[in-house]
Amino acid sequence: MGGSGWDVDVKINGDKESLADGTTIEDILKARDVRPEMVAVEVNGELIQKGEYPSRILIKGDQMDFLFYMAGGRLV
Amino acid sequence: MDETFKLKRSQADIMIDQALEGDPREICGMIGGNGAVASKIFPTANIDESDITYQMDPKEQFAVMRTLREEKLELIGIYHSHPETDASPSMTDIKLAFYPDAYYLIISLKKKDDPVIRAFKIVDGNVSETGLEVRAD
Repeated sequence: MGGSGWDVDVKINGDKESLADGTTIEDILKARDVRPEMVAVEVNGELIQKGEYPSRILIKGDQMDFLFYMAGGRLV
Repeated sequence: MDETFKLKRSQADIMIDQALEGDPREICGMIGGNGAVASKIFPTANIDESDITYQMDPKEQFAVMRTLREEKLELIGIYHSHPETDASPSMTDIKLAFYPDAYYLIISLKKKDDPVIRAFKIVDGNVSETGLEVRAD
């Protein structure tokens, strides 16, 4: 994760974490081996569009939540 | 071996009633609890409004997850109905099972007057039935 090295304290799915300055949503998902197309992401309760994942940088105090889609059915 | 999933009669009835009310559409929801023991059922909307698929609204999923966190519960189950087919995971269910720690419950309304619920774990495409224990309230 890039940046100038300053720690940024955030919460991710309720857990406290310190990130490098400049860390994006995409960085966080990649670090967890999560494919962006499989998840929905909220920051501070706001649903984030997938196109923003590479550019949205988390700042101090942000709370990011992500979850996998829940879907299925008897289709096949 | 996975533990038998445990829930109360009234909790099973919430899911069955939702399935019958939603019929012929598939219905869905989330289950909070600890380990293999259900504490709370969270019926959710099927935004597909379909007879053959379901998808939860992510905003609703987030809201349930926040409630679970506040109540110190875990997401232990995800359920949906099969209005016309058996209570077995379809290929779609298996492909879209992203929660290896959760139990997947399926309610079959193949016999409308005798709904069947079965519980499974789905991990990396591998399905195993875990058993289901419905306890009196």
